[in-house]
This record gives sequence, C-alpha cells and structure tokens, in this order.
Amino acid sequence: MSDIKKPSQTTPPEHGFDAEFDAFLREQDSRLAALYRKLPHPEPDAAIDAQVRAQARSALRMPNEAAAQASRPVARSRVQRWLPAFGAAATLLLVAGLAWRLVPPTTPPRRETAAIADAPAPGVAQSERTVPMPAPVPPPAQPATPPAPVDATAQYRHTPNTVAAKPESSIAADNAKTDAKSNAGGALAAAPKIAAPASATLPGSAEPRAFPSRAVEQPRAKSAPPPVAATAPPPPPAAMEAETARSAARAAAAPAPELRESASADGAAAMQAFADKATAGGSSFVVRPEPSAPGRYHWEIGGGPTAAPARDGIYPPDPPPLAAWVQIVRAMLRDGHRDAARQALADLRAQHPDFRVPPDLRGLE
Amino acid sequence: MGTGKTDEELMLAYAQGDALAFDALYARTRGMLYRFILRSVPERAVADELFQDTWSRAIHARARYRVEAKFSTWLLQIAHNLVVDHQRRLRPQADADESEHVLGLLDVPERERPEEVLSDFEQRRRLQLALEALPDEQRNAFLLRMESNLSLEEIAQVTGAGHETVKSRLRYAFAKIRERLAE
Repeated sequence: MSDIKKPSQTTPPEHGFDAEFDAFLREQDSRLAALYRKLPHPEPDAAIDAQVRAQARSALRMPNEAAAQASRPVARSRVQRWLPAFGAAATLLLVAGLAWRLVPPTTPPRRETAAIADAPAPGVAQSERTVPMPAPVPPPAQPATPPAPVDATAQYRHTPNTVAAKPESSIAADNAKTDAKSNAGGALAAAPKIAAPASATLPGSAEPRAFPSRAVEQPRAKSAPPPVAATAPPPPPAAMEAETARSAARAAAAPAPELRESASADGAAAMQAFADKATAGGSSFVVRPEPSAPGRYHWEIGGGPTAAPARDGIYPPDPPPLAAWVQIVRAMLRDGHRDAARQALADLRAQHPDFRVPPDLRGLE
Repeated sequence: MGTGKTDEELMLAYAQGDALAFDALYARTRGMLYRFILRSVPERAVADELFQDTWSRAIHARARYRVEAKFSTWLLQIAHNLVVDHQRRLRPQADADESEHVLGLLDVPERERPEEVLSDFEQRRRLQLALEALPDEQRNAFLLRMESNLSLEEIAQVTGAGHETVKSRLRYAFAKIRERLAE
C-alpha cells in the first residue's frame, strides 16, 4: 500500500508522536478532535430531507415490492436447501440402476439344473453354455415299438421307466458321470440305476439341449466303427440321459460334413466337436427303406464298442436322431419320395428349430 | 416518536411500516452521514447525490436489515462504498477552489476575539486542506474516526480492511495532518 511504502517521509521523528496518536485513538476530546469539531457542520438541504422522507414513505406504500424483495432470497434459499437432497436421491438412483445392471441375471432353478446337466467341459465357451435352448416340441404320442427282430437291447427299451421320478439335478449328475464312464471305455454296466424305454427318452427334445454343450471334450477319433446295434453286448439298464447324449453323438457323426457346412461359426465348432465325440464313441446309425411300407424308413442306432443301448424305429412317425433324420430325408429324395422328403424336412425343422438345412436339401424348403 | 429507541430499533420499526420511526432515525443520522460524504467528496452536488443514494439503498434494503451491527455502521458502510466508487471514477482530487468553497461553510463563533478567530480560522483551514490532501483511504478512515467516533474494528467493518491496515491508515493520516498544522 502506498501509505506503508514510505514511512520515513511521513512518520514524525518526535518522541511524543506515539503518545499523541494513542490519545487520538482512545480519547474523544484530543486536541485534533477538538479542532475537527470546530470545522463547519454542514447539513443537507431541506429539499433533500423532504425527498428522502418522501422516498421512505413511498417505499412503505409499495408492500408488494418490499415483500418480493424480502421473499426472493427466502425462495432462493429454499431451493438451495433442497438441492443436496435432490443430488443424493439422483446419486442413489444412479447407483441402484448400475447395481441392477451389473448383477448377473438370476435363472430359474430349472435352467440352472439344465446347465449343470449339460455338463459343460472346461474348455467350453460361456456363450455356448448359456445359449438358450429351443423349447422342446412335445413329441407325438409314441406308439408301441413295432415288433422288431429279436434284439438284445429290447429288454432295456421296455423296462419300466424309473427316471420320471428322479430329480433333474440327479439326472444331470448321473448324466455327467455316465458320459465320463462311456468315454473311458464302457463302464455303463456300473450305472444301472435308470432304465427307460426308448420311447421315454424323447430323443427329439433331448438332443438340441445336449447338442451344443456336450460335444466338447471328446478326443478326436480316426473313424467310426460300422453299425453294430444287433451285436452290441447287452448293457445294463440304461440311463436315459446317457443314451440321449450318446444317440445325439452318434447322430452327428455321419452327417457331420454337411452340418459343418451349414452351421454358423460357433455352431460349426460345436458340430465338429460333436461329431468327434460321436466318432470316438464308435457309434453309428443305419437308415434303410422299410420294405413293408414304401416311403417309410427304418432307422437304427447302435452302440459302438462301448455297448451303448441301441434304439430303432420307423420314420414316420418315430422321430430319429438328428443326423439319421437328415439321412432319411436324403434317402427319400434319392428314392423319389420328394413329398415325403419335404414333409420329413419340415418335421425335422419343427423338432430342431436351430438346425440349418444343408445346401443339398435347401430346395425342399 | 422514537426518542427512547435505539437506531436499530427504529430501523426495524420502519421495516415493519412505521414511517415516523424513519423520520426519527433520519433526524439522528443525517448530519453525521452528510458530513462524512461531503468531506470525502468535496463537490457539494456530488455529496448531495451520494447522500440521497445512500438513503435510497437503505430504504430498499430495510427488509434485509438485521441487527448484527450498529445502524450507523451499516449506513456508513453503504455510504463508504458509494464514496469509494466515486473516488475511483474521479481522479485527481478536487481543486483548491472547491476546498475554499467548503471552507466558506465554516460556522465561526461570533464572540471569539479577532486574533483568536483568525488563528482558529487558520487552523481549521489547514485542517481542511490537510484532509483534502490525504489519500482517499486514509481520509475515509480518518473521517469515520472523527466524524462518527467509530472504533478501529468498526472502521475495519465499514471499509472492509483489516484491523492493522486501518490502524496504519489512521497513523499516516494523523501524522500528515499533525505535520500540516505545525507549519
């Protein structure tokens, strides 16, 4: 400040200065104060006084203005008082929304069981395991299995179904166990708990569920053995889901090239693994015309060296496994039953909505 | 009306609609305020304008007035702000003619002896000139102290400066005036 920069110019040298200044600060009647009071005492003109008083009275006659002036800061303070509350509520809402978004979606217990039953392999991608499965179409009423040549597996197909009362989770666990055992070389005899007829396995509905996820951890095999359904050793009472998985694997083994061509990238990988698994299991299927009924085809899936339980049927109406179904469509075309082939393909699409039609069959659609 | 009430009570009464309370308050403080303004800005017309402006602001702010300080301090704070704004707009200071005009307003006692009258007149003239020559901040602090008897703390509140700053301003103002009177 200018008044502090040059103290030597203004500070008096007298010793009595400080005492006089202290008196000036403390006392009302110092020498300087007395001299100041002798200065003229001018006052405002009467006109100014009148104007000021008139202004004061006119201000009182405008209460609205005064009230507005008085209430304006109050209203502002009310808004400001609620601002933190609004901010806190907005923050809470944001956090709740984020938390709701981040929490993984809860699946119904049945879906969890299904996921466990699918027995995902360690290498399976999460997307494969969580792909929603198509709702299985209820199969048509299954007629009694037509008389077939004496088959060692027939006794198992007609064994009373005990799986219906078993919880799905148990089935899933057993399924996983059975898969592992069959991969190891055939210890199916050690799983005698569940015996089900072939008609009770609902192959058409079980296969899509098992298809994408079970086809992963099998080592690649060089070739599939010939169909040996009739010569398979009599297995113990078969586990329903084990047979389902195995039949799916077998079904995928034969038409694997076509399916791989038509599948998407993810589906192709799963299809490849599925075919590999089926090939490793050594299972196969047989499709041949039914001599007694032109346009109908007998299909038969047989266990490989693992002596898996075999199934057979005549299509229509017995829905075969997916791969056999495709082969039946091809066989119908080959034998000149185009309408039947079209119907068979339509049935297949209805049963397997996610199935991509191979290029050679697309003309039927 | 309002003779037994303090300035603060009168101001609160006026804020509630009592016009007579304002009259009493105005009568008490008009001289002090006017002299402070007139000695800060020597032009009388400007002083009149600032005086009216000060009261106008006080009237409009009556609803927001709170008894947190003396009313005179609050009123002088308004006036000081207006004076400082004017001083910042108008530099340099008023010339000698304006100072002589203010000195012409002196009210000389008639019964004093002629030599003493002359001597006293010369002292008051020197004081007036010394006040005119002071820097604005020092003069404002000095006037607040002498005219309104404000303490250091009150002057600091009115001017918005620190306690020590106010004391320093008063010290330099006192030294200059003392030096001018001793010539």
